[in-house]
Amino acid sequence: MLTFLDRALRWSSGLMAAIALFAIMWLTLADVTGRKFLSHSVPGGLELTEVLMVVVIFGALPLVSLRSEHVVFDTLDAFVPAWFKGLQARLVHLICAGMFAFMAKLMVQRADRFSEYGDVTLHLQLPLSPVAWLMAAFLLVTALVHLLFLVMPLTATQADEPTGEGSAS
Amino acid sequence: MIEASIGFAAVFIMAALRIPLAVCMVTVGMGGLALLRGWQPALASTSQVIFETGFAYVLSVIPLFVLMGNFVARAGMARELFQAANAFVGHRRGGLAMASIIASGGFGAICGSSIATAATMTRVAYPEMKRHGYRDALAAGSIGAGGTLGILIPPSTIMVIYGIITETDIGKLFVAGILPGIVAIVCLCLAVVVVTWRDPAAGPAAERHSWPERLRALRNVWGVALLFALVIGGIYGGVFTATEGAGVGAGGAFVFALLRGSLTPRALLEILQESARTTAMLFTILIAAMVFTSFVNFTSMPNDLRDFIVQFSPEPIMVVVMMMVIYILLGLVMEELSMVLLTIPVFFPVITGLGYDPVWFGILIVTVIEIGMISPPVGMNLFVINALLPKVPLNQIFRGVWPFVFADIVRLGILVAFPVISLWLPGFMG
Amino acid sequence: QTVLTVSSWLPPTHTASVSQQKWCAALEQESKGGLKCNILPKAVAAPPGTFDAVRDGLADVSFTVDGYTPGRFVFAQIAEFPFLGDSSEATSVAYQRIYQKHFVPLGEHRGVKVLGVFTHGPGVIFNTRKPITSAADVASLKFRIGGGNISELSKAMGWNVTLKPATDSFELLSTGVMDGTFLPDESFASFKLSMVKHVTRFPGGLYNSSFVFIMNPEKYKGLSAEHKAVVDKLSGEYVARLFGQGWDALDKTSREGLQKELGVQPVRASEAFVAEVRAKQSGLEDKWAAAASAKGLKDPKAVLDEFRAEIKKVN
Ligand code: NA
Ligand code: NA
Repeated sequence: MLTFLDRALRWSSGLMAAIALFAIMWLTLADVTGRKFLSHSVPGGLELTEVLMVVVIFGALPLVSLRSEHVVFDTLDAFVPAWFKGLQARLVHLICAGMFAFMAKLMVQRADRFSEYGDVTLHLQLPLSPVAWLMAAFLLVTALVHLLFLVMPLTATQADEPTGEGSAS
Repeated sequence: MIEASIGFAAVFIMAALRIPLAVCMVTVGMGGLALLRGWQPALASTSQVIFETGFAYVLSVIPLFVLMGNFVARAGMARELFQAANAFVGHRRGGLAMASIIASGGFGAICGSSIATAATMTRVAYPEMKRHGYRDALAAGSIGAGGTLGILIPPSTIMVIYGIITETDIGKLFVAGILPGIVAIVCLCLAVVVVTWRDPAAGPAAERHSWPERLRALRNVWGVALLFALVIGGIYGGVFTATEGAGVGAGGAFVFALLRGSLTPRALLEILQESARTTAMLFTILIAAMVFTSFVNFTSMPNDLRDFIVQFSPEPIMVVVMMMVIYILLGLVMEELSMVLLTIPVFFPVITGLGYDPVWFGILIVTVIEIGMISPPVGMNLFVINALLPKVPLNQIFRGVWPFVFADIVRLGILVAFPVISLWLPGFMG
Repeated sequence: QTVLTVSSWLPPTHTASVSQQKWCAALEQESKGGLKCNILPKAVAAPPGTFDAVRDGLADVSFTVDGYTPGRFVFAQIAEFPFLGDSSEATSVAYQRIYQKHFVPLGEHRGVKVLGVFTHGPGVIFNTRKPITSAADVASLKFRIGGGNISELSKAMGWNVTLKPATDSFELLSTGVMDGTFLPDESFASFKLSMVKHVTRFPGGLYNSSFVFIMNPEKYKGLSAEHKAVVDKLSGEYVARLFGQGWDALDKTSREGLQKELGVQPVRASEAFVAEVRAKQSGLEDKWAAAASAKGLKDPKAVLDEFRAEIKKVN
């Protein structure tokens, strides 16, 4: 189940985050070379970067939660009795689910505020409320990932090894 | 002061229960703000902070430098840097740890971020140290501390931020960081000597390299030298800004990885996703720290600290010393960017009022930030290593880093006592 | 005693922050200590978020630039147009009068209590390369600009400009990424732009920016009648004059002090140059008039004329 979910997220929100990051890189390069050699920078490049940043950060968030990559203090682990660990882990996931869902709700409110005023970006006139909606959607998926851990057997916490075997090169 | 202290205590109690640090900081920050200003402002502020931090052009340097580090690692360039350093010092006790510090210094010259430098060197140096029987504590400690050279040796994202909020010459700050960077490398290597002198098994000696081997290894760093020339040359030559330099650096590293045949479409996707995940992890903490900061902003803490400092004004150097003590203590428990954003507006006028040089103070600030990034319990570099090495427990990393924290404090003392180290090189600029 | 929480996104030494501090001092004095400001060490929000932060009560008092939230405030664009005037104080006071008469009833700044509106000094062209005497000279170099009308105008003129925050000016110019920047005279001193060698000034300024000084409406409603009267007394033209005078003073110190000292060569834009800009600007004014009338403003062109006449009158 978790392996399946990991793959599903990697090919959906994770893929979006990856493409967005690659796009930021090319955008910066195009902006710099355009300015230097064609004496014209990419119009609204700064704003596009900002939108793409949102996709990078929030798109990769469900995967971070799924792989339990959030920073956690494990200092007291040795003192926690074994019988309590399962309960503790579920409680923590419940709190995380609640918090990320609440954040999603806050971003929906922000989206409403943006559409109330008709806020747009400066140059390209991109409306801001869909950007806040996007944040809300990714945060909600993250909350669902934590909820899933509530019902999953704990041994499966490490879905599969992180794929970053960059150490090999 | 009381409200802020309760807030810090609450964060740590929650964190000790194994709740992710970011969730603790958001909860306490939002709750504290609600108590001070009411619920509606607290919720509105939180949503605003989330949006502003996520939708920020300047912060795009973080994912780009992380990405650059991952491409460089994939192209094997950081490894070459490490091998060159290793060829010279690896045969000594703790030599691989020293090599990783020196290589971090070299990598810091093409990378503006402490976190990205630590992430890159973790991939390159940790497996080597593990293979030679190094203790996890020493390996993680030296990589974490070496990573902070990324913000001291130019280019540096922190110097850009300091320069903007204090209106200090960023070019001078960059140049000022070079000599202190060399002092830092020496101090950190001495810390390795002390650690392996007390516990020789922590870092056994590796094989000795002959001089022809050393020179060959040195020749291999041309890739790094080229990237350095591209990024630094581009920034100084007026082709792009430091922020854009991160994108150009990532692009250059991408080309290198491509030319060396180490990039399949699958590998590319993995690198991109991994960089995005590291970014998401870092931004979750950054956003949470910003929410917590907006709570502290409403408490009396910043002004109380200033009042405390100002009573030392008759003895100006004591003001600086006390400030550094406060920063080291705050650095234990705070995320460094929030610490700077919160305190610089109240501290900086005091420093310039006493007639001290803002460039020198900037170098001191970078140094206390470096200390904060590796001092437990809240140290971003340690978290990055922890994320990349899931098998090494966080408290092993905490244990290993202390000698390097002390070495950094000694270096801070040297920089306070001898401003000329920071100010000599920028003195030649206009 | 009532404490107002006050925030500024500019450094505490910047003229706008100083004017705000002066406003606080006047408030305390007029209310005989009954009203007091708590000026926060760090801004509650980034510049674009300041309006919402005051609306939501995170801060009680702050100021913001209307153009930082594009799409929200159409009427305020009137204060961004070229050739308005050489004095921030005069432009600000006239803007405040027009604002009170025509814009307040339409409630564009809904959700906050507006204490006053103001503008900065006339916008100039700074550059590090050569004296700029024509539109073609501008087109031959790369410039940093802020947003708003000047961004539209630059597009229409075919100039090579990039949108970057004003705080990036130093880095952009010192590294040579950009050749120049459009800013008021004050910024030369504020951002320490010592690499600038030439400045081109236009009669009345090439552009301007509209600022609004705001208060949380709930906080205002909660004040006693006596304290409300104090705040009212320190609103409107008082605000426009206070911030405008501060800006004029700093523009002057920068122009006649630091810029002279560092040998910045001034150029006065010729009639022909001004005419070129004016020709392109007229199209933008038509566009603005259409947008403003869609938002309920009757006869926007007449309001614009009235605004220009009012500035002359105040002068
Ligand atoms: Na660096
Ligand atoms: Na810290």
